[in-house]
Amino acid sequence: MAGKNFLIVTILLFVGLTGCLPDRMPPDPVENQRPEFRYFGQNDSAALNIPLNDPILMVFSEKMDLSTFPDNFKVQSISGAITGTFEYVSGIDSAVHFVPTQNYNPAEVYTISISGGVRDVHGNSMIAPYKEDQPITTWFFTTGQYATNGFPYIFIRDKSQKQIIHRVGKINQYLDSLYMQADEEDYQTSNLKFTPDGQYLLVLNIKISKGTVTVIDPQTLSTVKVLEVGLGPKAITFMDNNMAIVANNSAKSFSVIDLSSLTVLQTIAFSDNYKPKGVVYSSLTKRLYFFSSNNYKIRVVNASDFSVEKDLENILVNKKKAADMEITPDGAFVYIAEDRSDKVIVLNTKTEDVKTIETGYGYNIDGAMSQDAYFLNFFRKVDKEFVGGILKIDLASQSVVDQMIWEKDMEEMDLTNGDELLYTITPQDSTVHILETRTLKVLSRVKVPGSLKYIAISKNNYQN
Amino acid sequence: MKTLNIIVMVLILVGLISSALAQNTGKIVGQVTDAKTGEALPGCNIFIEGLSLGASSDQDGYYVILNVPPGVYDVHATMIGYTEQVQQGVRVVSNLTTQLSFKLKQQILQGEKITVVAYKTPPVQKDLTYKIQAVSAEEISQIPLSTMKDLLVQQAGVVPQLRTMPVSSMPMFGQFATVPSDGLHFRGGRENETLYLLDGINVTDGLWGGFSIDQLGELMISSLETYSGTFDPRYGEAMSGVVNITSYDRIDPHPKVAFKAFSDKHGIESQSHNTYSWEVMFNSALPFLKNVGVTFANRIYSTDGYIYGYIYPEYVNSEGRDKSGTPKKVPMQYLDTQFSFGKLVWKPVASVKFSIGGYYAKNQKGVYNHYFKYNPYGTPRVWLDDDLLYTKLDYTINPKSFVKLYAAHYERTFKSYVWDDPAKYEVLPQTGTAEFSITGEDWVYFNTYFKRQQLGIDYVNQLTRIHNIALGFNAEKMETQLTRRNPDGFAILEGYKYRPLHIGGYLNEKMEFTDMGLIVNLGLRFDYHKTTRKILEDLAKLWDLEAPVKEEKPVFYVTPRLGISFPIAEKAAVRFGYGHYYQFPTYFKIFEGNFLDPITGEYRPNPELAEQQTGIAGMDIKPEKTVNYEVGIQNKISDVMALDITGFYRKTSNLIGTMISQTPEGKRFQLLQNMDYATVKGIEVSFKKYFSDHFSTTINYTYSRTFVSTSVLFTVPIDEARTFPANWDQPHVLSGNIYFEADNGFGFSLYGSASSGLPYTRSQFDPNGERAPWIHALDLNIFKNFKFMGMKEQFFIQILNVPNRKNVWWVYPDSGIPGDDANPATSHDYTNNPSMYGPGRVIQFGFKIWN
Repeated sequence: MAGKNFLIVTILLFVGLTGCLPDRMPPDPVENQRPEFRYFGQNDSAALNIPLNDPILMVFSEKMDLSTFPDNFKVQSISGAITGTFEYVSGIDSAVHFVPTQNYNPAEVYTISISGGVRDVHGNSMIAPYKEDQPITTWFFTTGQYATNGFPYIFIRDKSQKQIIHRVGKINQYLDSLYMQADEEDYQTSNLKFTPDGQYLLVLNIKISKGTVTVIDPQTLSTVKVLEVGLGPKAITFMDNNMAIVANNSAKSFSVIDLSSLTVLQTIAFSDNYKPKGVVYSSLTKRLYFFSSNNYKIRVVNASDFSVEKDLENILVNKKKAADMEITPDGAFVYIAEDRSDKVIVLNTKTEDVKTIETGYGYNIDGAMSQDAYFLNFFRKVDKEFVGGILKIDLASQSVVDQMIWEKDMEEMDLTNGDELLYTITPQDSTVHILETRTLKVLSRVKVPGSLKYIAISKNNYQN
Repeated sequence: MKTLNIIVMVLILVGLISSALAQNTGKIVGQVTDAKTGEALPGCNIFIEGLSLGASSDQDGYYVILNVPPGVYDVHATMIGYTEQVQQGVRVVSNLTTQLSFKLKQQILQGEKITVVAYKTPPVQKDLTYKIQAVSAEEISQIPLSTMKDLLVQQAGVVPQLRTMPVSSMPMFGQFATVPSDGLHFRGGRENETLYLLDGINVTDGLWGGFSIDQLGELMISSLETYSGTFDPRYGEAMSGVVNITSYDRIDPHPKVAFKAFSDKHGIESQSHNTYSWEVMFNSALPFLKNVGVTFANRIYSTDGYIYGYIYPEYVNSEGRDKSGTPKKVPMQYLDTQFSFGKLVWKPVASVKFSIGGYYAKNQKGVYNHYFKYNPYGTPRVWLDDDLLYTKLDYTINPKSFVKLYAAHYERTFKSYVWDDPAKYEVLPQTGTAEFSITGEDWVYFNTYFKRQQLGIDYVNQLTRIHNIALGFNAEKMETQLTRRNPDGFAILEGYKYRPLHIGGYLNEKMEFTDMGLIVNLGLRFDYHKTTRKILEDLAKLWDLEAPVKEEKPVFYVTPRLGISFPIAEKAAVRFGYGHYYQFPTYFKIFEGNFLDPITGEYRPNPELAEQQTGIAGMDIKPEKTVNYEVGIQNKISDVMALDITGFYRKTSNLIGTMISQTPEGKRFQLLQNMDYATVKGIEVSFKKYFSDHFSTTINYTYSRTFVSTSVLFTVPIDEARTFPANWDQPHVLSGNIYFEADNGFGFSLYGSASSGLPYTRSQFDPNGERAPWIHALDLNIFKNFKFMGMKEQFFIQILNVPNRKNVWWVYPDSGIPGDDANPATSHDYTNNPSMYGPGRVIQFGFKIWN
């Protein structure tokens, strides 16, 4: 009986002590310990003038699984993607190098993209799957002609500080401001342009008593000579016989300059009160094409004897004067941007046919002609807000192929010698913007003191 | 004694104005005669061993013992000059009369003090007026089962609810996928149309309905009875069935102890659900205290179930694409229960019995959601706890009458969510592919509480040998609290606290015309319900949070019951039953969609929910009603074999369903209202062979058809004017059990069943017009009994689903097969939902010790 009682008590105790329900509660939810992207290498984030074989450095919070990069990493430009290999950076566990197996194209914007699918060595992806994958991106701009044997000088002429000319060095660094010798108090600049061989920077000066062209050595920034042209020179163009033509607006004339001897050969007046404001030269037709500030006619002048050949009245038919006139490198087409308008008129210099391009924006301000595109900037004030931008008109298709819009007004533009970079001025914030011409991407900005208006880029590179 | 009588009468009066419960006891009647002369022996003492309950024979030798708890007993008859006789294994069933006569021998030889007679249960119970299926403790121990639910579904007319559609994670409707239910259909009724009684106390959840039958242990049960059909008016608020569970009521100086444990942790993973079960029961009279008996039982049961989720190492990181590597297996259909029961019985004097008892139970379970197969921690878990504390006073006024007073406190909490901390829902958002969840949690948050405090009285008087009158009242004061949140932001969608009131009463007369062999059960029941909720004066102003509200009118109804049994020969008895059965809807339906109006500070329908799938409760909810007809015949085949054939017809109306309503402005909303209806007709054939010649057997066959206007509560009927087969309609259900035990202690029991597959809808024009394959079961229990240290011991091996058959529980309506639907765009992994199939073979090992 004692044994039975003992058994009963044992069973009861056994059940009482060992009987318990399992704990079914799951572990608390925790977010994965995901790797974090820290930064790109100095060369790989909005950097310019990147060597064509430059490896891309990426730094993470921990060691990454390189096998996950090919599917989640991309470096590409408008020309396509670049292939390469991935490797750890010696001595830094968390850094990864992308080493391109082919060179980048020169003077192109390359965009780097790392999507959230890259994983650390523990298999954790960088971004939670339930979150929208917003890849980490940056870009760099490869080296090109603009950097061959140094960099060009960029000259910016102030609108109000009449004696000051500013320089931008290394393509995107404010360098200095130089005092220009002036011989009259009301000295004013109306244009800056380099000679085609890049030897001289020509500054067109509007003076009360006379009009002059100051010839400057861009390397030393010293005045070589001052040439007297007609009153109110506004525009200058170059013919293929080392001659330059200056349109004298107030004098209603144009002057012919021999760039070899730096002498004014002659100044020819228009007899009909035609005030030339712009001029281009066609090497195809051997003609000069003028537009006027007091006339809607485009005047055609024979470049061999400088006689007025005809006035084209079928071009500015909208009762708008021209804001800018540029000619294609082959001399076949003249692009005339109407003033206070969104129209660009393309004149076939051979047939004198006219085509109108409506941009949908306005108003046209200034243009710059490259080998394959006409860049036109514009701005318009809408309810006290500026809407500005740059259009890229393809010369082959004669249509707008790209655009860059911002809330800024602009003044003049100029291109580097290889047409790789477009420089434009926004006076309201005293800034020079550097754009890549193939995509119109703004690469950099430079603050320059003063109220900026005119810009010219040296044809030759002087800075190391 | 006179004072005591006065006290009892006062208590009866208190009961009449307050409350009471069904008495749930049987009676033993018989005659004591001289074995030799056949003369009646007056003054003979008859008593039931272990219960301290007995009676004396009258002048004609007749005796009656009232208020006998259901169970199996040894009954003694003693008289001076006669040898004491004990009849062993006398079965007593609630509300039925056990005929037990004694033929005593004169005491001739000195020393022959007692004769033992094995009681033979009569195959035909002549006073049966409705179908009662009673299973004794011994019979329970002979059946292969894991939980008591397995036992219930082996009863004729009872089928389990097999989920016929995947759990949805849709924001609204899917939230109700985890709410508690008894998961049983009695004679074609919906789930939760059953009243559950433990020791006569109502343990049915009034908020959700049902009872966690899985939590019960088998060792504490003295008797488990199932009534389906035209049960008498003692039982209210149940349309389809009553489950009456009775624990031991012994006051016996010989302790009764039992211990049982089993597990399937044998290392064969494919045939194991990681199940274990421990159970102990102890009953004894207390030493040093006179006539005090205690019972204690404790059971722990845990199973992982057969459906798992998988956590692959790269699944989340790969946005659900990468399922490579070795996954972590997470049980998703687990069930863990703990049930602790205690009871104390004290008989200070022969006529008074005082008892106090109760239990505390914990349940936790998983509900498989295929969408969360690869994010198993994202699907909600269920915690279901309940406890009961009751006290009863039985007073035998005289040998022909007794009164029973009782009071009880029952509570049940239900919680279902992934986290109770809102901050944890913020960590990972809900994301997933079109087929599976990746991160986040399901849209489920429930926290509910139900409390019932009841007080009741029953009075029974055996007026004459023919007339037995029973009457009783009970009052139930309840409390229902519910909070349903949207885990996304943790805002309360539903939230209320009501204190409904229910008063019920009955009057039943049982007439036993023994001369004619006619038994008539005639009864009347009344019920009164007061929901205490306020309803909108004008439902059209649902969107006006300041619209006036009014008290809902109480509901009162009276239901007649009639049962007749008429023996047509010594070997057969015919019975007929008719009755009206009302059931007030479970309170979650009545309060559906209510929340605390922030403007008025009162509970009222949440207009935001009205536009969504679960809708809101309608106004003036009426009780659901079933009219039951039953005709049956019992036929004795031999002394140990009987056949019972029962035909039944049930017509149910006023079932709560979902309807579309709209305001005069044309704004539509969903409303729960009395609108659905159903009919059930069928026939049950039961064959039983009582244990003899080393074996016993039971065979049940049911043919029934259940037609409903809709099967799912929150589904708006396509056409309210037509009925179609219910989702649980299984026309043919055949089951059988055979138990064999050899003299050397070896034995086995075998349970098998075959039932029609569940219906599904291939075409909306023919709802539930197709049927899934048949469902089969074959379970085997092999055991060896032996004796050791004065105790009985048993080792057993239980094999569930012996042929390892892959039963199909539901199929895709478009393909008609499980595993693949007809849509080529879905993957097999997505369509191969494991809940479409039943569990495979499981082998359990266990042992049992008892005395």
